[in-house]
Amino acid sequence: MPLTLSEIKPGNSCRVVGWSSNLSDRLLELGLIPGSMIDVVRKAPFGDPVVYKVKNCQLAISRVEAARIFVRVLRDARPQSPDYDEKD
Amino acid sequence: MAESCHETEFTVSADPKIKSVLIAGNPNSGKSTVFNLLTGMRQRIGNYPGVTVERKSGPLLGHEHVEVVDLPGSYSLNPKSLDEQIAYEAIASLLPGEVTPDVIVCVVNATHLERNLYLASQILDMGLPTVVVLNMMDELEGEGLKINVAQLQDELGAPVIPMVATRGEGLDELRKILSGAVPIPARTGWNLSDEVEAVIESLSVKLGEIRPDLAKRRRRSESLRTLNSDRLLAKWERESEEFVRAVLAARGELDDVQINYSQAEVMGRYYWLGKVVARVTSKLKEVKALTVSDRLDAVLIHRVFGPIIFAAILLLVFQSIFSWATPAMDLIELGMLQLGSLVRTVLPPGMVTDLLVEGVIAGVGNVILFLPQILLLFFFLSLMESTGYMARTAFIMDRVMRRVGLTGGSVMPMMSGFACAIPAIMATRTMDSQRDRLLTILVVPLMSCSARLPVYTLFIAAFIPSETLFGPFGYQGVTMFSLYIFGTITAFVAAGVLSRIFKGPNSSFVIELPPYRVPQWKLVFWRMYDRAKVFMVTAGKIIFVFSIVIWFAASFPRTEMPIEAAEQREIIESELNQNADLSVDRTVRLETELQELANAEASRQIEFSLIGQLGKFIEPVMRPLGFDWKLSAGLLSAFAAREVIIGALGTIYSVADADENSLALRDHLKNARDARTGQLVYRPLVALSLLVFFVLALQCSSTLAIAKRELNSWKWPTFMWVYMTTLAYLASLAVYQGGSALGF
Repeated sequence: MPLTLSEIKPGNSCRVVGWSSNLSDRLLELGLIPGSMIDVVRKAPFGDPVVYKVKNCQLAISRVEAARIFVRVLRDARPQSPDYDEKD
Repeated sequence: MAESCHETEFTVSADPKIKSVLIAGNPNSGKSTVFNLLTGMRQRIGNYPGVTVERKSGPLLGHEHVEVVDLPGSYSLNPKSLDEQIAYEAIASLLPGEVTPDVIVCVVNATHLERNLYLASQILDMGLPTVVVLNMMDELEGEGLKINVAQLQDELGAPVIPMVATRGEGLDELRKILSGAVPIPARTGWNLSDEVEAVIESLSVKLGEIRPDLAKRRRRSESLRTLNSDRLLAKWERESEEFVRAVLAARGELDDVQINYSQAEVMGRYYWLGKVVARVTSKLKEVKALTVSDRLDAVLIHRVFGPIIFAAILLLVFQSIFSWATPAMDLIELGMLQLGSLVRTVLPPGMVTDLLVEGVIAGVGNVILFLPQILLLFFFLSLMESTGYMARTAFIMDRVMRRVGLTGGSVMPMMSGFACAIPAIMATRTMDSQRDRLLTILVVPLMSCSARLPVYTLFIAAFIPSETLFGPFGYQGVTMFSLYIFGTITAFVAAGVLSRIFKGPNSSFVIELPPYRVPQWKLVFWRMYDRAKVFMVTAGKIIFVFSIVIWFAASFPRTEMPIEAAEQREIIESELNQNADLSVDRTVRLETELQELANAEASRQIEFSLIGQLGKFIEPVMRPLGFDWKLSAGLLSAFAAREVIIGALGTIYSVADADENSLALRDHLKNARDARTGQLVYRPLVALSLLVFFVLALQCSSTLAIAKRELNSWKWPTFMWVYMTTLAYLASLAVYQGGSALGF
């Protein structure tokens, strides 16, 4: 079971592997296509949305929407937080 | 077929005499800066016919017959919003009344090359002469990257001009290429999957039968667009049912074999673009992982500091609007005063002079008075947009907005609502969900707009002490801030309630956070000037007309003096005129008596006048809110436009008071006494009740008109007016009755 983008903690990087069918086309057009690398940058002050860096652009995406994108965490990216290590 | 399609030689377009240049590009690509460079900031702002999407155009510097149009920013030619649809239709010449574009200038942000080339490749596929502007080359360098422009030109099959638009670099090259013949681009090298390609092929053939005038490439791209976009399909429904049926059949066909056609284009283009970008980009040097922008974000959208800084910025903006504008306002007030007396010395006394001084100068003057504040507010809003902070406000507030059924996308229209509901309502066009858009439009007028500012200022200045509360903040500033907060909270509550009534899906929230930029002061000031001008012209016209109407309503029907009073005046006048040797004391006493008679007459006149009668007619309803007939009459006039109440009250008081030259309405209000009881008419509680009424009531005919145009029906504007007026009445009732009960 792959992780969804909404589960990745800020400071980590991941790669898009798929999406659920109800994902908005606009997110694809903004470059969140399979193979794209995503840096999780920062949560909004009230927890939602989250800023992601995609193709060098900073995009704020709501959690609901991010939960429709499946990703694989890149282990070699940045110092990782321990809480997803086991799941991947 | 991909690689073989690359043609390094451009086909040259036949006609070098171009008439129109469209500027397209992603939001935040520097499109408007390029537009300003090309036109020398001589923009005309209008609307596309039938819709309220802003159409910004201007003549090309050095080629005055060429019209440059700045299209709304868009991410894709598959439109997701009205703005994007207009941009697509303008490029595809599907807009009635718009000329076929001769040249497209596609502005690309070099630091977001791959993402921006997505739109650029869609535009190139339209087969129109296109120039790609590679903007923000300086920022690219800052990121330690380099783009091989010549190779990118080869890959795209269209001319590419590197630019730093903010510094005007590359402008000469762009102008040079525009003054010659811009080539038609070569075919781009991306592919659809075979199944989708076959469907597009047959749709293009179908479209060729219906619209043989369209070029082959245009038919292909139109077929692809329509297959992907319901918005465009809806448009075709009016033109050709046959084509719509073919598109629906094609969609069904692809659905049956489980091919996601809407994603085919995205995947195909990005697959190609990924390779192109990798080939043309090279790394010059390693740069630090954290940019200045990242460091700023670490503070400005920080979990704790972010919201605090946002609130502090808002408070500071409103405090400075209040205090910085005062010297300029005093100057304007003085100028108006002197203009009034000048008119009185130049023109003979009579009806026309009265109309000029009491109606026109007093009415319009009282609105020009607030120009400094309006300019300041627009300045701050432009500054926030220009620096990139505006997008952060949407990001910070999204969660909160969602709680009341809106999204972060509503923050900007609602923030603009602080300036004026009209542009704010127009700003909702970028929202992709119709439901969110309707909700936002319905609550935006609750945000305290600059037209309320004069009313707030007047009543706060008259009734709230000017003492300091703490630090730089005084009671007046804090009251002003509270009024804004009150309106804002009410807007949120209203949105929460309304969103429960209109159930429907929230729009997805994606917002781009552009890097922070040093503001382009020229643009900030230009935008400030422009918006203030539009506001003053629109509001000024209404106010001019209403000042005159209200003056008439206050002056007619005329009433005769009671016989005793007229007799008394005659006696006094004859004594004054005939006895040259009257003592000074006696003269002063007689003149005072004469003045009192004149006051009584004026008061009688205003009471007897149309507006007085109307005010009295509604007074029983308004009494529980603490409003007498004069305020009620003022409120009646303000239902056309809020700020009219200033002119109206000014007229009412300058007619009723003998001191015609005074424009200091605030002193009239402060000192107004009940004719019978001698008590002050306006206790601070009455002022508070009136302020609350103004925070909530929809007193603006322009807002109703724009809402009708945006929503295409009178149903919602009517609803808006009724719910806001009811809310205003009930809240004022609560304030006045509650306050009275507590002994204020």
